[in-house]
Amino acid sequence: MKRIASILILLLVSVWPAMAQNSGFQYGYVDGSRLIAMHPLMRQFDPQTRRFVNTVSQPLPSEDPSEFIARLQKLLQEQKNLLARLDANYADKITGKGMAARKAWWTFWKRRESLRIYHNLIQEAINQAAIQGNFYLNMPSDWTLMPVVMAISASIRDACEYLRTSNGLNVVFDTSVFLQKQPEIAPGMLFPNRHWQIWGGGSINGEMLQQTGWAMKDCVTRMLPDRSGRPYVAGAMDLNPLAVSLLENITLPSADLPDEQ
Amino acid sequence: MIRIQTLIITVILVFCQIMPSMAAPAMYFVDYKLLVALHPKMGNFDMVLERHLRSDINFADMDQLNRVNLQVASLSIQAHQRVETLMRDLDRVDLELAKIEEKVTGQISDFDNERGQFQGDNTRRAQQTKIAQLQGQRRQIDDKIIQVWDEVLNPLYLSRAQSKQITEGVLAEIDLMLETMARQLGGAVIMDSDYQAMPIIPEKVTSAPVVGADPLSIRLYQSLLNSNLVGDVPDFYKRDPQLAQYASAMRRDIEQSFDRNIAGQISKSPLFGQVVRPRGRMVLAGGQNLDLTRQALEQIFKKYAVRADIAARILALIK
Repeated sequence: MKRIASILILLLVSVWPAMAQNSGFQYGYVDGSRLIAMHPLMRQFDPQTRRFVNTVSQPLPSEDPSEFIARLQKLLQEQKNLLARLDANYADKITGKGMAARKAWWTFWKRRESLRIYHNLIQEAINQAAIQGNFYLNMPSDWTLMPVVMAISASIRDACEYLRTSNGLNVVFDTSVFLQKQPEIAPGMLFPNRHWQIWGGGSINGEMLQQTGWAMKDCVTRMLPDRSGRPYVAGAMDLNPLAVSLLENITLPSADLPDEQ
Repeated sequence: MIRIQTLIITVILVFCQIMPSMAAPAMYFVDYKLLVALHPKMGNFDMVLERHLRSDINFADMDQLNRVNLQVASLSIQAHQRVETLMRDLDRVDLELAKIEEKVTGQISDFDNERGQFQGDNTRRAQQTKIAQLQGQRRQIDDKIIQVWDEVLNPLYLSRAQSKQITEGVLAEIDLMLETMARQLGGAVIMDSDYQAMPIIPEKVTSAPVVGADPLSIRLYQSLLNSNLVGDVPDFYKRDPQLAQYASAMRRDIEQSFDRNIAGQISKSPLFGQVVRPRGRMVLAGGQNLDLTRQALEQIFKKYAVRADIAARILALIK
């Protein structure tokens, strides 16, 4: 009896690490491009100038520097108010030591950091405009994009790292770095239903199989668009919905955290 | 004695647990589109109509087939009448759309400084709303026409909704099977082999030195590779006691200079992307045994008891 009990305990101990990984996956994936596009700072991106509006990277072809500074001062004050309200709403009120409290504190802290970065970006734009004056009306150097780009990538990295650790994953992949191969012949153009020939026992070759596959893929993409564009088909956790909501939670320029927190 | 046994069992159990992750590769590939295309439940799927042929029709029974054909012919006559009416509606909407679009393109307006907008802005907004409304009507009529022709083929084919449901079931079944395989392979990830890494190539090189335009820079890397300077100084530095005191400083300088030059060479690596661009491969070496397409298809064929000769012919073509 004692022996059986000790073997059972050993079994439990041996299986425990696998059980501790709550998701059961070692890998996860996100669509990095989508996360970049949904970042609030991207709303300030002007595709014409390829610069971020209201930051130091923005060219000012028509605006008077003093007007520009006055406008940004107002924005800066709004950011200060947001930060103050966020602190007043949450800084001393998130209590407890459980997982929910830890997540709430993390979300609060990251939101605060994000607001602080917006604030600094506006402040830097004001400083540069004050120093450079009319000279600043030219296109600023490419390097002026860097603080904004770094702020966006830092938020995405934070969200992915949080999801990685909280789900017990080793690696989080970015699916937007993949290209889908294209068939040599447009699918369905020549013999769309070749699989009937295959099932009928007719002669087939590897190229025919591939054409059949591409034609089927084309149909499935039209019928079920959500199912297309999946480089990872098994063994990896789709973190996209979680990443989108987390990124919103930590980057929205608002003094209110979501209720679920 | 019991303690020793327990210890041995513990070691074996722990070893068995870490063994799969130690031995198995972390990434496998599968040709996902082939798994769908060759799934027996998609065997009667018509890729032109995107509908499955009805499984309750015996296509070898000519009487039954004739009855179905008569049904289709009768439905087709009714459909022609309905489609004719819909086509008249479509023509009416198209005419109206063309008239408004002609008006919109013909308008040239000046800026009204007092009102801070172009003259006729409000009219244009109303016209755009009307265009969007008509385009919506056009789409609705198009959808109705498709639906009418779909109904004609109902005696032969399942509805689009039914086909969609079957296809979703097939995809879910394949996903579940691959998830099980991934777990059996020690938590490996399985990728669709239709994807390749996107090569990241600089659009333009704005700063010198540029490879190909700077022969000295290319020669420099060659000479760095052949150099025997790192970690050593010329012999006379060691022999002369007065110079020997500078030897370590000189060695450090040489090493720093070497590191700086190598860093320069590494910084040019994106430029070499042009060389590898056409390949864009995920795996550069090994990986012959990483493709699970054949293994997954074998499982599907076994589950659906596909005739052995057909299964063998197909599997022989999967590399």
